[in-house]
Amino acid sequence: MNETLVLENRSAPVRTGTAVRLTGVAKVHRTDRIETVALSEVHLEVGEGEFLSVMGPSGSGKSTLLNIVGLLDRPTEGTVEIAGQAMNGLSDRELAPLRNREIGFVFQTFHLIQDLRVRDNVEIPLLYRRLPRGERRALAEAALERVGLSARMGHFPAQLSGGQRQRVAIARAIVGRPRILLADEPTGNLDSRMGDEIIAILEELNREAGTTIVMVTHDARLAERTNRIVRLFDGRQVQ
Amino acid sequence: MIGHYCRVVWNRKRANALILIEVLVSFLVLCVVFSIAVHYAENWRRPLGFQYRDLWSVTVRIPDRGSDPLVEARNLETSRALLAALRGSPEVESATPAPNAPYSGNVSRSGIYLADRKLVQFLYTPVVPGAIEVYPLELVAGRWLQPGDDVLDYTPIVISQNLARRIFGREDPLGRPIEEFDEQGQPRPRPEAWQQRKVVGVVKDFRKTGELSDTPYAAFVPQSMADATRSAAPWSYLVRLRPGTSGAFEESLLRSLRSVGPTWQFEIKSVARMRASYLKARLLPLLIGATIAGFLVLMVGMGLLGVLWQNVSGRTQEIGLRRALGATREQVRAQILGELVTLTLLALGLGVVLFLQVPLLGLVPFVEPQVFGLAALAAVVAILPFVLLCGLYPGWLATAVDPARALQYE
Ligand SMILES: Nc1ncnc2c1ncn2[C@@H]1O[C@H](COP(=O)(O)OP(=O)(O)OP(=O)(O)O)[C@@H](O)[C@H]1O
Ligand SMILES: [Mg+2]
Repeated sequence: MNETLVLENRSAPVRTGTAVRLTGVAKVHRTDRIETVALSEVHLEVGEGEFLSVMGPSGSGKSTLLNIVGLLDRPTEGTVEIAGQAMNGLSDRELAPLRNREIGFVFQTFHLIQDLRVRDNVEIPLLYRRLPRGERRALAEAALERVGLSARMGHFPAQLSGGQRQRVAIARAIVGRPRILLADEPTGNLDSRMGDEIIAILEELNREAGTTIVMVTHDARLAERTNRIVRLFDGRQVQ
Repeated sequence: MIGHYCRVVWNRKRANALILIEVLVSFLVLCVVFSIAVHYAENWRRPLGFQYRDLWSVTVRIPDRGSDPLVEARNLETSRALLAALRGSPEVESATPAPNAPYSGNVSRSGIYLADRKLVQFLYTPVVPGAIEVYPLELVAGRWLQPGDDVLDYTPIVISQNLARRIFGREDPLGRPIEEFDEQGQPRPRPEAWQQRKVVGVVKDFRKTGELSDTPYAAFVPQSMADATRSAAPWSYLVRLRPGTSGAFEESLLRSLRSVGPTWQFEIKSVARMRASYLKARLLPLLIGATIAGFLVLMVGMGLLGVLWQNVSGRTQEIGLRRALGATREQVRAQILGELVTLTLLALGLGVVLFLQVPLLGLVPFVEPQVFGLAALAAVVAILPFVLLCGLYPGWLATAVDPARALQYE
């Protein structure tokens, strides 16, 4: 277990603030009769520039945790702070720009829009920033280049392999240069060689841009390469 | 941004084409249903041009009706006596020979070709001067038929307003001959001078065929009661009764008619009663038609609802995704609204252009063009809010939940 912050390698300015702080976070999913406790009593602090892994068995609440950090879901209990700012009680109109600028999200199931070309998919976060068209295009192409997909910009998602789709999803998550990148099993559907490539991209981002990264993974080998591992079991933080 | 949305719409050609077609079909179905409804409503609303209350129809069967001029002359003489007998009754206000009572379902028409080689058919009604009070008709220009008209060296003719408009357009029809042409558009000469028709008067439209029918063209010409070479003995009369005359009068009228023409057979019918059975016969199919139309509209509405609902709720994940990537609720809703409005307006525009070909090409000539315009407008007014409601509601549902829930939607 590598639980110390590795700061030496970073060329980006060293930041020492807290990127994410969860205090006493619980999430209960209520459907008609059944109440599922997806998370309870989670305390988590992620430092700026940290690369953190979240591990745990299926159904242990990893995605739920990431959704809460990514402001896609609200906790039933507890507080969420992003860059020192409390998120509780913010309206949709206040949350939207935070999701847009602060956070990049790589979803477990990619969530690419099938009817849009790769380039247009990657551009989406920039649409909600009033950037001129040319600039959006240039940024999207740069992000795709970064994940090694320059040659596939005009393709539709259905024309790509699983790994390529994963990389499109990463390009979309980083196109807006978020300070926090949340990746839900970014290597889940990939062979180990492709998985290594993806991790290399994340590591580079973490190293060079100082992006804070929280990654859910089942792969202990990949988790070893990150600064710290948080383990969940049955919605509880066990480590 | 707009470019992005246009790409979204364009790349979803198939799904959007389905919506477009669904809206278009719904629009056209509504247009047809509304046109028929408006057409009938307009017909119902328009004045009949005569009074069916206290009006009786008398039909006669003349046994020895032949080509023998002597027999015809005798028949005409009996008819004269018959008309006098009808008029002589204190219960009768006025009477006239007139072919085919209103609502009888039968009409006598005459057709002529105009210079533009189009055939115009009109109700051809030989009557005596008193007929204007029998119906009663409303004269709007010129004069009504008068005694002596049946012996002129031309045939004076009184036409309905719509026929005047059809033949003479905006020009004054009074004093004008009604020229006939053959199918090639060449003037057709009249064999006898007295057969040349000249317009002497114009009456308001005369809707003998009833309030559910279109307005026919109509013309009234003199019925000669003296000259069998000009007019045959009439086989039908209309009798206007004094208001409040009871049905019992029928028996005594029949008796006096039989005394005039003992070998003739008579049948007396109340026009009001004929109207009642006419309406009964016509309203039932209309009602069935309306029910079918109602189901059709319902089905079209459900189809549209289904397509829209499926389309928008099928995009719940996309909606969640866009919000996860930084769109506000309002932005996502505006996008859905924009797409729907664009598609709907496209479909409706196409539909209007298609549907207005019906009046423009004159495909259904007996229905006035503005009926189609009104129906198209009503269809637009009905469809636009329906589409927006059906599309925006699932969109609203998808944006109401947190993005994480929307992304989980299957
Ligand atoms: N919308 C929901 N309604 C009800 N229960 C839910 C909902 N979403 C998640 N859960 C439940 O919450 C628990 C945690 O789910 P979560 O998706 O966070 O697990 P996970 O650790 O990401 O699992 P996996 O490794 O399989 O992705 C599960 O028991 C799941 O069934
Ligand atoms: Mg998960």
